[in-house]
Formats: sequence, C-alpha cells, structure tokens
Amino acid sequence: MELRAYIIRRLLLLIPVLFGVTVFIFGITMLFSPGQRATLYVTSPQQMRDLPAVIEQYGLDRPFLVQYVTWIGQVFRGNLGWSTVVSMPVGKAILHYLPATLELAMCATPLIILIGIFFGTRAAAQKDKPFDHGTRVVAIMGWSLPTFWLGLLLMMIFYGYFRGLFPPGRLSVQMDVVANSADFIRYTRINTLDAILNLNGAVLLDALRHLVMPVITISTVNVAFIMRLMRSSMLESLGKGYILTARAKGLDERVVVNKHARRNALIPVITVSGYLFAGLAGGAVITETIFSFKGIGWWASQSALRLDIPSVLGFALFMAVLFVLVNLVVDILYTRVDPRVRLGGAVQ
Amino acid sequence: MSKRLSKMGWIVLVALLCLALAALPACTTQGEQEEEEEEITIPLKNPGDFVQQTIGDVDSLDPAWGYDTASGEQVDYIYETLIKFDREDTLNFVYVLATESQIVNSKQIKFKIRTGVKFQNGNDLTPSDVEYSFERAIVQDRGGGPTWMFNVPLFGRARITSAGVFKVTAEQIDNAVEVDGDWVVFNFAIDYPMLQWKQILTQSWASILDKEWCVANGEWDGDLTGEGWKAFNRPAKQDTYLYNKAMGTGPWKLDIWEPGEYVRLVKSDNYWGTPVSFNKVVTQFVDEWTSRKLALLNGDADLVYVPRMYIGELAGIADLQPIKDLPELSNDSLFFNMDIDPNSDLIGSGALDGEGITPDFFTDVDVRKGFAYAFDYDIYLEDVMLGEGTMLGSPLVSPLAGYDPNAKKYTLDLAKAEEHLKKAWGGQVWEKGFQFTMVYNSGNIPRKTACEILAENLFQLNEKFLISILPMTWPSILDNIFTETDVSKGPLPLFQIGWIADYPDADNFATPFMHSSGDFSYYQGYGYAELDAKIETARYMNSGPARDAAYKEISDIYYNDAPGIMLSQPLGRRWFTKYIKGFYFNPTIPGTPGPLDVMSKSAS
Repeated sequence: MELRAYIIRRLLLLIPVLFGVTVFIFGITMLFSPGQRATLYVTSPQQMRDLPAVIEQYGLDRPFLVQYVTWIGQVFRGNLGWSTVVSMPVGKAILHYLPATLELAMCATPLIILIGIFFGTRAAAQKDKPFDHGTRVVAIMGWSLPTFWLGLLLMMIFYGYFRGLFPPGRLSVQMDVVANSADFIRYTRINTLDAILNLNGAVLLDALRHLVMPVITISTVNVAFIMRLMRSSMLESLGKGYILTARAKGLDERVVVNKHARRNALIPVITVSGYLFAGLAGGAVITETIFSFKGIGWWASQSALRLDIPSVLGFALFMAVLFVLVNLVVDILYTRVDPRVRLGGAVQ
Repeated sequence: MSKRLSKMGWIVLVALLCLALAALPACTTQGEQEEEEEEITIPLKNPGDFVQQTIGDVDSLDPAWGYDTASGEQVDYIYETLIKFDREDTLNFVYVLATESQIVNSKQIKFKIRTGVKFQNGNDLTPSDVEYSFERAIVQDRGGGPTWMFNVPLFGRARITSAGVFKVTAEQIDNAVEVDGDWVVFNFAIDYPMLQWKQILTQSWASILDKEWCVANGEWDGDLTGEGWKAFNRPAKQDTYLYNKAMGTGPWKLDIWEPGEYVRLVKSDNYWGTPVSFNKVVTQFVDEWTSRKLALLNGDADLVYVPRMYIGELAGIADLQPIKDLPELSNDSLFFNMDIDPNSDLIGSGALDGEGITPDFFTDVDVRKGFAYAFDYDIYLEDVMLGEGTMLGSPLVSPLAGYDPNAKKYTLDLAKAEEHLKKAWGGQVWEKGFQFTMVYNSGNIPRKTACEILAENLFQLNEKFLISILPMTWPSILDNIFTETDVSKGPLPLFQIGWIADYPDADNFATPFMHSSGDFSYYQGYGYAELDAKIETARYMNSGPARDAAYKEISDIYYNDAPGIMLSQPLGRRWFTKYIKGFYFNPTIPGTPGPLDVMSKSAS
C-alpha cells in the first residue's frame, strides 16, 4: 500500500474514533443537571446570568440524541463553553495555556527519548554488566521519585544553592517586558520559538534557563520508563535469528546493535513515546504548579478544583483529540521504521 | 545463587547510598540551618522595579467592583482619589485630586478639583469626571461590592436595588453628586459623620475615572434620563470594560494582566504629582511557598507573602527586613451560610441523610454553636498565628468602639459542642451525621489549617460528621461568596475570609458582619430588623461611653447568635529585602506592599 493511501485510510478511521470519544464525553455530561450543562453553551458572562434561557435555547431537557447533535454542532463551531476559572471561553483558554505546556513537552520529549534509547540500548548490549546494573538502579530511582519532591529538590539546588541559576516561571521580569513589547512578535506564544523567530538571543537564553528545572523534573521521571522499555525490546531483538546471522557473517558488533537490532526494537518505544508526548502536552500538573510554569495542566487542575464543568470537558475533549492525532502520527512513524506495516496493515 | 544475591546486594547498596546522599541536607540540625541562612546575601536585582510574589489574583481592576485587597492595591497604584490619609494618620488627610474642601452643613460637603491633572492617556481631569466616577459606581452597585458606603450617606440605605428594581430614582442619583464650577458637591440624604465620609473617600472605590475614555469604550454614558442607565446595574464581573482595563491619573499605568500569572504596571509619563521611584510594579501569583521563599532570597522578589507558620525559615537573615507587630484593623473569620444554593455541588445529597446537608442547615443556632465550640482557638492562635494575634468574641476589633478584651468568646469545649449538636435539628444531626465541603483560597495555609482543625474536631465528636476541604483560586472564592440566585445565596456552605477596615470605625465591622444588608451577613442570610436598628443607631452616635456600650451590646448579640466563628485579630508582618525603603503602615491601605509611591529601592 502506498504511504499516502495508508495515511488517508487512517485519517478516515479517525471519524468513528472521534465520534465514539465525543459520545462518551457528552454522555458523562448527562450526569449533571440541565443548569450545569447549560454552562457548556455559554460564551459570555451575560449568558451565565440567564441559564434558563440557555436551557431553553439549546433544548437541554430534550432527548440525548437531540442534545448531542446540538452540542457537537457547537463544538464544530469552536464553542466549548465558558471557563469561569480564567474568565474566557474554553477554546481561548486552551489556546492561551497550551503554548507553555507545548514548550515544555517539546523540550522534554526529545530529551527523554534520546536518553532513554541510548542508555536502553547500551544496557541491553551490556546485559548483566555493571553498566546494565547502574542504569537499572537509576531507572528505579527515577521512576520512583515523587515529582513534587524532585521538583522541590531541584529548586532548592538550582534556584537556592546556586543562587538563581535556573529560576522558576517562564521568563524573568525584564525579559517578559521585552517579550510583550511591540517589537517582539508573538507568533506562537512559545517563548523559545518566538525568540528564535524574532532573532532575540537574550529572550531565548532566558526562556531556556527557565525551562531547565521543569524539563529535568519531567525527564528524570519519564526517561526511566523509556530506558527500561528500550532495554527489554533490544534484548528481544538481540535474541532473534537474523542477529545471530549478522554476527556469524562477522559484522561489526556496533553495526549489529545499532543498525539491525535497534531499528526493530524501536517500535514499542515509538508507541510509548507518542503517548508520552501527548501526556506531556496535556499538561504536567505538578511540575507546572511547582515551577509556576502555568500551562494547560495548571489550568485543567484549577478547573477541576473549581468544578468548572465546561473547562474540564473541554480539556477532556482536547486530550482525546490529541491522543487520537498522536496515535496517527505513531502509526505513520511505524511505516518508516517497519515498511511491512504499510504493505498489509499488519506485521507479517 | 550467591552471585545473584551479590548483584542484588550491590543494587540495594547503591540505591541506599543515593537516597542517603539525597536526604543528607535534611539531616542538618535547625541550628546549623539557621547558621547557614544567616550568611545568605541577597543580591539587588531588577533595580528601579518593585516585584512582589503573592498568592491571590486580582478579582477586578474596576474600582467600583474590586472590594478585596488584591484588587484594591492595584487600583490604588493606577488611580487616585480626591484625598488620602496623611501617612499613618487615619484621622487627618492630604489633598490629591482635590485642592480644597468645605463642609457646608451636616448633609453637604464639597471638594474643589485640582486643575492641570492628566489621565494616563493625556486627557485632562475635570469635575465631571469626578461626578461620573461616583455616579457610575452607584448605578453599577454590584452585589457584595463597596458601593454601600456611598449609598448609606447619599441615599440613607445600603442597598439601592432589590430584586433588580431600583429603590432610588435617577433624580436622586443625579442630585447626590453634582458639579458646581470647579467644585464637586456631595449631597447626603441623612446626617452623616464627615470624618467617616472623608475616610471612605481615601480608598480605591472612590478612584476617579476618565469619563471620556470610559464612554468611548462602551461604559455607561452618564445619562440618567430614560431607562437605559438601568442596564448598567449589577453587570457580570467581566462585562465592565474596566474589569481588565484601566486608565487613571495615578503614577503607574496598567501594562499587562495575565490572569493567574501576574500583573505589571509601568510608570506613567503623564503623572502630575511627585515623581515615583519604581519604573515597574510587578505582582506575580505564585502558590508554591518554596518558590516564593527562594525568589525573595535570590532578590527576584522584593516582597513575598509568607504564611505565618513559615516565618522561622526566614529568621536571622540579615539581608531581610522583617517589619512585625503591625497593628492591623482586621480579623479573620468563618461564616455560616444559612441560605445555601440548593444546586451547590458542595452540600452532598442536599438532605440531612448523613450524605449531605440541607441548604438551611446552618439556620439552626445549635448547629452554629456546636461548630463554634468545636474549633480549637488556642491551637489556631499558637500554631497557625504563632501567637501574633488576639482572640475575638465578635467582629469588633481593638482599639475601636465596642472592643472588649474580656468579652464573651467561644473556646474549645467538645462537651458543649456535643450538647448543641445533639439538640440540632431535633437530634437528626447527631443521629444521621452530615457531609459537606469547605473551601479555602489555594496557597493560604493558615486558612487551610483552620478548615482542618474544625473538620478534625467534628469528626472526633462523631464519625458521621464529615467535612471535605477544597482549595479554590481567590477570584473563584469571591465569585462564590458574593452571589445569589432568586431563591438563595451562594453555593459555599461555610466560607472563610478576612476583613480589613475600609474606614477605622466600629461601624465598618458591625455593618458588614451583622446588618441584614451587610457585605458578609447579607450573603449568609443573616440579620434582622431589631439588630439593624441597633447597628444604625450606634453608627450615628458620637464617640463616648454610650457608643461604646451600644457596640458592646451588638458584640454580645454576635456571641449569642454565632453567625460565624471569629478566629483572630492578627498582627501584621511584612517581609521586604533590605533594599526597599520608605515603608509606613496605615491599617486601611489595601495589600501588603504599602505606599509604593513614596517607597524606593537602593543598595545604600
């Protein structure tokens, strides 16, 4: 099958998946009273004051199917309701807080994957040797460290002991002024990216300094998982017959490990990495809170604490769509790693 | 096998070693820590700017809306009033946007408006701006807002609307504040103490707006003819243009407000008064204490909010400038909502079935007294307030009229709590139990602890008494307190909030806490005509023993009715770095930074 046809087929499959997801999410809303559900349709503070009119306008006392069609129609128009926590429409709130989280996810994910793959590969290649034991200890520690504890520890070291070396927040007071000035165009609201696009080294450096601690926190916890996964996947690959053949042919061990074994071992890692990115892009609540890196995770947690139903459902829908799209990207990546996938739809 | 054990042992050894290294800093003694901390040198950062880190976001930048300290302090820096207090003195004033005043009689006072003053957009200040600012606040008259302080003298009633219907006419509003040449005249409906009126005029709600700018941006146009003006009454918070926009005559203008993140003000080029020192005033909202503490120690913040229980962590640091034992005119209390929104998510099943409470649960005085006796005031005062406060029997605070250190107070008495709770609702409370949720503003550890003390003690009394505790953002708390439906008040069953004097008089504590139209009592569903009459009588009495006795009687009524749990009158603290100069304390100035217009930052 051609790659393009494969992608089109997968895109078409998204329709029933998203349909199922929206039915599920909307079904949850039916557990709430009509007044609470009315807030899903509100787009302004004025409407919040007249919920009975909203109930009548959208027929919130009508059958489930009718209400679903009305709601999905609003969602397609971009109306996800009103976020009382931040006093803006939910759609706008997602767009407002997403850049900070995306910045975090975009910096942390490659780091986690590269470190995880590198150390996982080395550990498998040196099975039961000191390096393997060392990585196992590090992985166990990393995986078992509570995020809030690690975050606070890093802050005490890098912000306390080293006197402000890596501060929390997203930008320093002075650089925030620059980043919000008329001369600095906010293309994406992702500080590092905008700094590059504006060719502003000072903002870039400042943004990177603020990213260090949250990225280390997230990476430490997640790299352990990728590392262990890569190790076990590599061990499985290294035990395959074609590796024996390659070695018998006298190939260099580095070629055997890095080219023949690792490529096949990457498939489960790609799957997990995709979901890892989606998870991080959905917000690292504790990390964002500790480091005042206010992104979508912070907003979602505040919404949950406030029982802000439109925000929570908007966030759930956003996460569902994000995971579905990431799943698509992962499937496409499979085809690059293992060409058999695109030929028959299944590995032979 | 032995090889395997050896490997495992090695792994365990390395893991333990790493953990031990990580835990090492925690093993130092308190003395060592303090010794270390004393050596901390705080660098001077952001010269020329003032940066504070705190926990509570701004509710609204609209002067007629904001009635909390987080909003008030920002409004204070952007806008100006006709007069202000003469530094610490709450009885004498200096002119700001007025240059002169005349008390015509007990019902009329007028102010001459300063000329040559420009708003931050370059517009000139005129007397009609002053008239507009007051009339706009009156027309808006948002529920739970500060406008009641205008309404009482100008119309003789705190609430000028009822069920959406105005109880005063357009003509009354128009006549209440009038322009007379260069003067603006306030015409009262009742004899009102002029000192009190002047005190009211010093605060953020009496800020002067640029009428032209407001009208150009869709605000009320100042026209009181017809019915159109009524549409501007009680808007939703975000409906007013001034919710997140500002244009005053003050030394700083609004640069940016990112809700939940920070507010930044920058020096106004058009400021008419004495030049201020700070180029920027930045308020960052940081819930995490460690982050705030390190920001202070690194010089990234000049002032941070320090929960009282953490003050030991900052003790002995030479580069800090702790200002303590400030005589605040404030109190902290828990309020029972006697008319809870039946749709509230916080009252469980909404019935007295052991899985919730009814919306009128707190109307039974035995429930309220049972709760009041179940609170451990000593623990709160010693462990949460670290002894820096005074227990109160009523909202009336020292040294105002009616304050009596020996007044009757509730103390922890679980036997009496049990006695009252067994009587409550005909014994159903004790038999079936209850469940509901209390909230506190996130980051406010003392308030969280107060919730925990009450919840724990009630659970000890009866395992069927279950209270969950939930953090909320500060603006969310305010939205949920100061709200009502056609049939009830807000959704919070029991809320906790502090009160700082608007004006230093006992009336400013009796009215909000106990009058049926009071800012708190109204939203609790508390108050009755007999008590209202006592409060109104005391309000207009001359200072002296008779007034003091009248307020003591009001104080006793609070004790007997127990509409809330009085926690304490705290002593204030501020934690500045040593570089901040010029702070003085006036108990009515909102917020913690204080008078930034006369403060500065320097290494010397």
